Amino acid sequence: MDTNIIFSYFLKKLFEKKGKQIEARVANFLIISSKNVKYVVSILTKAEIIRKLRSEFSFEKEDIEKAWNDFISEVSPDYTQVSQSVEEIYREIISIVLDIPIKKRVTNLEHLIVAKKNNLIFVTGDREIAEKCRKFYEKIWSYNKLRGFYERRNDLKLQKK
Amino acid sequence: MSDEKRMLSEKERVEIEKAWERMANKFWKKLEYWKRYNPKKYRKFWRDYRKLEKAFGF
Repeated sequence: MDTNIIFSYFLKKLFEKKGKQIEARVANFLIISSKNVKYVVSILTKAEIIRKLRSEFSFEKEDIEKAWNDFISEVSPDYTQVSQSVEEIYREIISIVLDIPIKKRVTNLEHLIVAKKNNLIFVTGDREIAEKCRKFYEKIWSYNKLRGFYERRNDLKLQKK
Repeated sequence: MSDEKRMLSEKERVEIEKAWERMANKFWKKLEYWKRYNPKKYRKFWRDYRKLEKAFGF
């Protein structure tokens, strides 16, 4: 997963703590679907979330650690170790950016390579990656596709009952 | 910071709730600050939020 989906979880919790009701359908989807879909995060996801919480809102280090632990406990994602070397990851990224003009920064490509090396589906809201990079790795899903997949699976379960 | 999934103890749970409360207070102050002094940033925050909900097809 890219960072945006996960960040929605943190925003939902922050609003809830202030007693503010906002529409948090992405975060609710993440929590509910995690009972049936096995999500995976890497150290890169974690680094991005921590960077955002610290830089945008100046939260304390200890509080961020506790919030991350709460996320791990509630959503129960698997944690994939990035065993590839930085050289190896960036060699692949270079081969992509040489072949396709990618306008944005390479963070989402890092996620993509980690997913590819571990044979995982990469769910991203980055349309540029989703549209241009499928020839490098087929298992790239948009948010919409993830939602569609989950809802169809649940429909099948209901039909079986 | 451990990433192993495990059951949290009651003590840890209480500490986590306190951490969320501290963060929520800071978060709210920041949003209020943006709303008053940095409306561009405030609008961007909500625009990005709505964009994500829309990208999910909600």
